[in-house]
Amino acid sequence: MNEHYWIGETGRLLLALAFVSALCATVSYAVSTARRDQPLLQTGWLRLARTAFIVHSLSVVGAVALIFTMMLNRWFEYSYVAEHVNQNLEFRYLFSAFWEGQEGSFLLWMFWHVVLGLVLLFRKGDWESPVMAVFAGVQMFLSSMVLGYYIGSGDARIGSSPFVLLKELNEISVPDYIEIIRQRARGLNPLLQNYWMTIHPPTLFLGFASTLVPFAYAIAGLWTRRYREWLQPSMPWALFSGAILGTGIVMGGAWAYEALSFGGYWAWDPVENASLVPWLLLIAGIHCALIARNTGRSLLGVFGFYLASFLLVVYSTFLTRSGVLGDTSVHAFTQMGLEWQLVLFLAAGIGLSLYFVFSRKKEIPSPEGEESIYSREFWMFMGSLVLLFSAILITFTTSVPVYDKIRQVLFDATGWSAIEARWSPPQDAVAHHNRFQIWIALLIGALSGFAQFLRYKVDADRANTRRFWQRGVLPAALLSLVCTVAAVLLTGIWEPKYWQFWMLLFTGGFAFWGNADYLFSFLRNNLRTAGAALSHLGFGLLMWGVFFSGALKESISTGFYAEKIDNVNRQNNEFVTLYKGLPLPMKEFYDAAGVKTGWYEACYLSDKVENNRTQTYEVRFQRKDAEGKVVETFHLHPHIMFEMAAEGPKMTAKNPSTKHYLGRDIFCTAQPDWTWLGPFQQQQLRDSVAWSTHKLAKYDTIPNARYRVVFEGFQLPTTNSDYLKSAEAGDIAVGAKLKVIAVATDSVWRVEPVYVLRGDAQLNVPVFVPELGLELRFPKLYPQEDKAEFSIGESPAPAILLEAIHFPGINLVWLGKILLMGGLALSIFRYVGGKARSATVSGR
Amino acid sequence: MKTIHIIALVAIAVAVGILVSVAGDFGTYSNFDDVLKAPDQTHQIVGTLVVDKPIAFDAQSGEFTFSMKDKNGIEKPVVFHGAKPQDFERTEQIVLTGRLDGERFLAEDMLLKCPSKYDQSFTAEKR
Repeated sequence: MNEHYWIGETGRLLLALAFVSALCATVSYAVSTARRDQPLLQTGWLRLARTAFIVHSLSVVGAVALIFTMMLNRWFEYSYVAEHVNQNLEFRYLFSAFWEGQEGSFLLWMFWHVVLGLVLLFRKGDWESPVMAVFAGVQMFLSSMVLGYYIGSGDARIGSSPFVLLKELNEISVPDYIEIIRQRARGLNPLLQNYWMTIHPPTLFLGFASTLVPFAYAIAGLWTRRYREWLQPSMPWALFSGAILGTGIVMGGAWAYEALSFGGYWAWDPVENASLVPWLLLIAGIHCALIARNTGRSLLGVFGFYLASFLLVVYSTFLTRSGVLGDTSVHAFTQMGLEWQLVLFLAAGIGLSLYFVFSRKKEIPSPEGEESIYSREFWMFMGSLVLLFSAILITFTTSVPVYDKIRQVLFDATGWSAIEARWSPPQDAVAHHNRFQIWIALLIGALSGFAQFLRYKVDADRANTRRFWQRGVLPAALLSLVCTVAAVLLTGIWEPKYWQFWMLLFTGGFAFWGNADYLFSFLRNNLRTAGAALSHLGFGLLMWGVFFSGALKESISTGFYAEKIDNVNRQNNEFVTLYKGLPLPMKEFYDAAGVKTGWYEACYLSDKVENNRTQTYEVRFQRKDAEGKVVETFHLHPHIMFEMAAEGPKMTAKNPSTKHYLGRDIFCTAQPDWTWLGPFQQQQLRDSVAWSTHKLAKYDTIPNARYRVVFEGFQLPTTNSDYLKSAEAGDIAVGAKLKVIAVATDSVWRVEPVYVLRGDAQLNVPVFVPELGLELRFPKLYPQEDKAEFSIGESPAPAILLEAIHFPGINLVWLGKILLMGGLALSIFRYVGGKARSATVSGR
Repeated sequence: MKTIHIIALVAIAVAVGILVSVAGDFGTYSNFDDVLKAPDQTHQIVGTLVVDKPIAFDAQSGEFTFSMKDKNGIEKPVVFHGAKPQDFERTEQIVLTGRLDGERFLAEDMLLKCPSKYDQSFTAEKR
């Protein structure tokens, strides 16, 4: 047996070193900050701190490299390798396998902190010490999560190491266990074997990691009592973080839409919420920072939002990694015994933030007087409050399992009575969140439509209110009204009960036109300042996209039994069973007067198996008009992934196939019948051939839903080669010319079953049409009537369960999101290197 | 008093109102007794699969049927409109959302927890 102990030992050493060096860096950066008025002392500590952080960085990178080495070489004696990799995992998915597990994703997060930290370190400057002290402190906590250090003899341990040998976890009595694992390892979850999973997690984690920069600057500003100066260097970082975290979230949605069979890009899953909330707070913080730069107001808001944003990243880490979400989320990791460590990390972050905010609160400058409601800063601040409120609402609901956990812990501690019923989150999470968040969207849409027409630091007396209303608000409102009315009439949502949708469309349109107007009328010559307008315009488009793809999303795979189920539950009629070769009419369309205008028809044409791990189905969709004439035909190829188990093939993932149009998508998934039939039932079904007998004259047809058989006359002498091989002298052999036509494809097969009279015995030679699962026999001849009798044996056709969804306007969603994030990215250039006009400070 | 203070007060009042309304959506996990007591309501139930009762999918009606045992050990047949999830027999825990439909529990939503050592993930079947 060949075990590679050296790599595990080196790895553990590196992780321990990473922890210790982070601790050293934290302490020496902190001392260097505290001694900033004694240059000699400060320089000494700073030098030590830098060395420690560089050692830490090398250790983290080294540990990551060792894990990749282990995975690449398939050293299955290590638990992390055995759990996430198997023998035939393709190289391009090795990265996904690395961050599939908790330990790997912690290391990915630390890796990004190291990268960002090194950038800050090498740029030096007088912010380095306090900012890097925070960075190193966070790295210390994160390093402790992957230590795997056992305390005493019990099960208590600090962190979970990625370098644990299988031997250490289990009693192993088989000498060649590595070989057994090699054959049995399940490898990367097939749902994650998707290109989005190669780029979504690193982007999202870079987003999470980058929220630490504004957090660290905010702490640094409070710590060193330089309450305004930190805004300048932190601005590009905050924008970078907003753009990257946002992009990471969008990529997650794209993955859900393209690879998962849920049929959607956002499901308000606790894990999705956990990444959205820090982003919302960061965006609120950026708005406050802009106010502070330009007017000197809202400084406390900037501190609060930037601090909260990173703390919520830590909180979401706690939610997704402590196992507390076990019953409520699809994506959450399972319990790994890190709960208390995560709680400690969170508590330290909150404690540090609260200490600095409350000890410095009185000193944070704030101008006298109040903002006018005709000033830009007033409405920007309102927008930040709306975002904050959105974040509170989402977190409040997502945290239900936490309340339940706390209640349990308290009850256990006091020893009162056992808890009977556990608290549960809302039953329909999507409806719940949509109900409240639609108001947030309306407010944000409206605010971002007009706020840019106002100017900073303008009071009611000096404001040109007429120009604001006439030149700013009115054109956007009118254009939006026209678009909204058009959309309402086109989509038929004119009944008053749809008023919320009208408002969504109107405010979305208002945000779009307001910013488009501003972009072209005011910023024509200065693209560098266009970032904000582009982002807000994108948000308006996103609102339209969410309306079309969400409210107007409909299933087109509704079968004839839909109505029956409809009475029980409207949601549950979203799939049909398609038998191979049998076209099935699905969703019907009606015009406003209730007249049928057409329908969709689907047909399962063929399937193929590749690499012994995927099965792909060819499904033909046809849109027909009222007369049944085909208007449009397209083919989709959904596939499933499976693995061979002892009891037969097992489906591991369903992958959708989508037809993209400019204005809409048609999305479908398929699941084969063998996944719901047991192997026995399946065999029984396959063996059950249904026979029917037909007496036909020449040119008679046997009709069937899947095929037609036309008797085209006798063939004398017969040309059937099967018969000719075994022909005997004295036989009377009559062939029958049969034309078999597949209804679905109009494919034609010409076959010739044979009737044989050999002595007194009547024999026959059968023919087969395997594509249709047909066996045709010619057992009797009626010479007087000039007729023939045919028997047709029909094997049950394989079937798939088809789900097809029509998503209108999905491209508006993607375009809106791209503009939103692109605008943020564009703004970075405006603020980087202090080129922007310096903040004008008023009230001082 | 500054305008901002008035707005802050109004915002807090609205916020409290909405949070109370949000909390109204929260519930508790039920068991089958609760379902029988309040048959018209939607419930969330945590339970385990009854392995020795039939597990079947009918492609014609699209009904997937099985039996679930709640935390108190009460069994009930369950109907879910959707294909049978993979590895269903090995499911360690099931969370159902739905309501009573005659003798059966009609599940609108089903969340499964899989026990496998090498695949400690959750799968959801959303309809």
